[in-house]
Amino acid sequence: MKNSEIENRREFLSGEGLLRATAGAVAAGIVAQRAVAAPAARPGGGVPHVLVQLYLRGGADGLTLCVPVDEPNYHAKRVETRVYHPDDTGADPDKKADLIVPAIWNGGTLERTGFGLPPAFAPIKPLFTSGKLCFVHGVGCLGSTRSHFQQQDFSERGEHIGTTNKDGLGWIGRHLASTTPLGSGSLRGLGINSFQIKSYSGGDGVTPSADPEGFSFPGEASLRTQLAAMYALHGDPLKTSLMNDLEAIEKLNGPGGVAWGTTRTAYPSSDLGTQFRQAFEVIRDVPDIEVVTIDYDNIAGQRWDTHNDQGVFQGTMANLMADLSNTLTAFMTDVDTIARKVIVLVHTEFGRTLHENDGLGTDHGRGGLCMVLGDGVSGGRVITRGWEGLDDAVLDPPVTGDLPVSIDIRDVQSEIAEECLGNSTSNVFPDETYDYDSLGLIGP
Amino acid sequence: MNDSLSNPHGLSRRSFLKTSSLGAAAVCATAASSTAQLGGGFTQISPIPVGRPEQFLLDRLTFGRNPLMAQQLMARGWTGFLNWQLQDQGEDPILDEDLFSKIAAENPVPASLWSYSPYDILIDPTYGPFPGAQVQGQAPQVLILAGQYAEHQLKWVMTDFLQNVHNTFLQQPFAYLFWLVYLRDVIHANALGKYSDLVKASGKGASMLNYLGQPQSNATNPNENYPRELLELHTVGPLSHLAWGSLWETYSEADVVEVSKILTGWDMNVSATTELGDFFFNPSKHAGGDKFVSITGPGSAGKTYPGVLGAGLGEGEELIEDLCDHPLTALQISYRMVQWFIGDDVTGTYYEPWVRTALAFQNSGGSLKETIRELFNYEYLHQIRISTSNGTNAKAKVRKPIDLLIALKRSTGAKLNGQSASVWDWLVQTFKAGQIPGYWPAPNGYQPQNEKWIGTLQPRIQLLNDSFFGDNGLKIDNAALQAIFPESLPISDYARTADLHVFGGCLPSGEEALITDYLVNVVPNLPDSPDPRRWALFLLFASPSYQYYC
Repeated sequence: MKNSEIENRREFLSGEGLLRATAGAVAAGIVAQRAVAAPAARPGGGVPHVLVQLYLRGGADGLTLCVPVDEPNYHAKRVETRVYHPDDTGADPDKKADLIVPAIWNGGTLERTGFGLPPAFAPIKPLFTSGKLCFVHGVGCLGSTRSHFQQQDFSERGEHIGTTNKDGLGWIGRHLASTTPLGSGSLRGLGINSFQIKSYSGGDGVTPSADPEGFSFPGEASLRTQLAAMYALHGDPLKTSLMNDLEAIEKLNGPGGVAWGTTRTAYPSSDLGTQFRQAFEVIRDVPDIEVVTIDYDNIAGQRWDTHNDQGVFQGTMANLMADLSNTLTAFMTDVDTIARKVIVLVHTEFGRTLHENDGLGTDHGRGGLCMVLGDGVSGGRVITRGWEGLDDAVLDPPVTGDLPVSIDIRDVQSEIAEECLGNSTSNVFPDETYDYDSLGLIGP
Repeated sequence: MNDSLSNPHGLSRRSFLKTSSLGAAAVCATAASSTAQLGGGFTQISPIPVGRPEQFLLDRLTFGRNPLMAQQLMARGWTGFLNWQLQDQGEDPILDEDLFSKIAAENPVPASLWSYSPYDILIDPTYGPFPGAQVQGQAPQVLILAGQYAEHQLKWVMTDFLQNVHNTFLQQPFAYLFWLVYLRDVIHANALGKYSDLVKASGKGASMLNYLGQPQSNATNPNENYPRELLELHTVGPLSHLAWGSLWETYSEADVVEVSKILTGWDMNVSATTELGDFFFNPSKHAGGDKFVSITGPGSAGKTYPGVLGAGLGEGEELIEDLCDHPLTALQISYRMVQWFIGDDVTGTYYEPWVRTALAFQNSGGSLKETIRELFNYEYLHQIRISTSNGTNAKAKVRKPIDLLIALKRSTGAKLNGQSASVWDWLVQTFKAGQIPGYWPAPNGYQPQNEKWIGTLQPRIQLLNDSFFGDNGLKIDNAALQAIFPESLPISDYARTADLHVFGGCLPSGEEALITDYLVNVVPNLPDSPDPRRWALFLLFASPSYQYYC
């Protein structure tokens, strides 16, 4: 993009442009602009990865997604809903885990459990074995709440539970606000949602759209001009919102925009499959996109919040896991074909209880699961910090409790920000009480 | 008048937190006195500098301005209009024949849907073997159409609010059978009643039971899903508060477990009979023994609910009454009401309305009617508007997509064209704009914060465009346009006329001038001889100021 165009946009956003010229002329100049330049590098670094954040809303059960197959307490407390150890000769073969990490034994003592994938999630195994995927177990927000909404809020804000949202920002919003745009400044972030999620709060150039393929503006160009003038007169935040929309429309669906429906790989026909196909096509065709976010709530009304009928082998979780694994596999296959680096963070607000309830579901627990996929990921590993098993004494609370939180979610987010996005922890997580501790997610 | 009323910011948060319960009571008493002194119309009060006071009320107590509401408000005045909307309304308006026929004309659905009987829907042969998807498309229209046509708007506005507080998810398996009767018999029936009655009805409602799986809960390892949301979303909330001169601690994880035990046995009939979905208490599933909840009881110091044989249902009902009596419930429900109706900055700009509304809730035993009466107390809302006339209040509350849609229908008389396919298309477009009643998957319902909706202009404008000019299933008759714009009216007056009709004169002059400019100089040159009256209304609805409540 030419500097003059950037100046135009700044003037427009400040309202000065409107004072200097007729509303129509200014707005027309802005909506006609089209940014197609290659993305710029961050100062002191290369071109950052595109971040794709997938939030599994509802509290996905990490102990089913990545099963600690050697933990006796897991098998004892998940009587009906457990995934069996692959070596369990008495088990139904259709209910056995596909081992991805073997146990470590020291003599007759289990030093660390092995981990396996349930049958419905096994399609993701090639990504793991090829080193493009790692699991992170025991992740969450520090504090004691088991509320969906508090945990989601704090994990998206990137603040310690119990603190107030001092700056009102989300963690991705802080990242965007503290870095120079790679391009024009519009469509830095795309939320494939019908509203803005908290992670983006405070970020410039963010556009939520449940339908990016249909993201267009009705009527003649003169209508855009006039509405732009009205919104400029009205001021922020709507002025900036409309500006973002108009520029995003140009990037997504204007001349030279995204070539929708042209992926080489077939995606699942689910909402999630469509969203990831769209995410890939935006990353492929919009050079200065920086972040894409997707929420995954449900499939046909079946949700991750599996209080009843968890359906590990058939039913709710089986359907969700199959959709998730097939979608991520298709997406990563396509990502391999483009030059731009992509980092995918899949996370959820908490893990679920170790014990199943009478409805053959699980309730709100503590330590959850993250998945990190992409270029440069130190994949093929299940990363834990101080994993002490699932014996009664180590649970939160002891005996009756659940996998504890041993990894602050901010450690995962920080490492991505530092290693992949060209930013620093102090910008993204200004909380003075937080000390970043690398997990080694990214690297050889 | 109390200083804190003439200067709402005189009662700072800090000073309030130091206020004893006596002081808080004094604030409440003063408020009641002020209300009595008003005696009716807003004309007794000096003019409000931002927008029009009646539009402020219409934007919040109704789904949008229409001639009847505007006329009633002008005739009755602020307090009189509020009282009119709060009065007992007799028969459920949704059963009113006239309303029913209007809805049926727009939304051609089988009679079983209007019977509100899960069993009737289940066996209705016109739905075929897969009735779920059809009902999921039809049921949300009931709220939209009732919002358009019902005379007692406030009860439906509250239904919308409370349906989100007690949200259930229409797409969940089998939810289609129960959602509509829940909307009518649980939410709407209690929308202006006693809050604890609503909570009990909600907990026993088939829609909630099915959604949060309470019937699957058993004595040995109870399901915590509904009990947790009862505590977090429906009553006391997740945070402790310093109020009423005391620090009120909220629930613990141990409380969630104990409440889960208390509520075991809340069950529903799942047989394919006319009793499908009926609540019953199942003693065989109920956990016996004493249960201790740390936040209820005298002084909220904890209470034991004894496991008395044969009294299991009473345990849960008593618990809900206790929770609804708790000050934290007053604070939470009033917080959500202020955030939904007035503005987002509840703990700052709207701190005093929050506290006063909470006191009204608490002192009235959880009467939603009295809580609303205090929330819309003219005098102190007036003071806040003056004090923030150039600031936050002028852009305090973004209209949610449903607000925008129903307002469009109300002020233009727009109707769905009666074709099922079009109704579905319109619903899909509404979904892209971000909101369909019953389609929020999580128990916390659609959220009202501005930041959720400010970034959704494109689908709003697309929806408005297609409604006025396209073929999305919505019809705006020329007769309605003729009624709004007299034949002799010059085009240069269309913008002002549209503003007065739809927005009560709240559109800033600069935006009005730009609309007029477009109507006079651009519209005549557009292809296909467009109707400038449609353009005037479209631009008004698409204007930045209209995205906010007045």
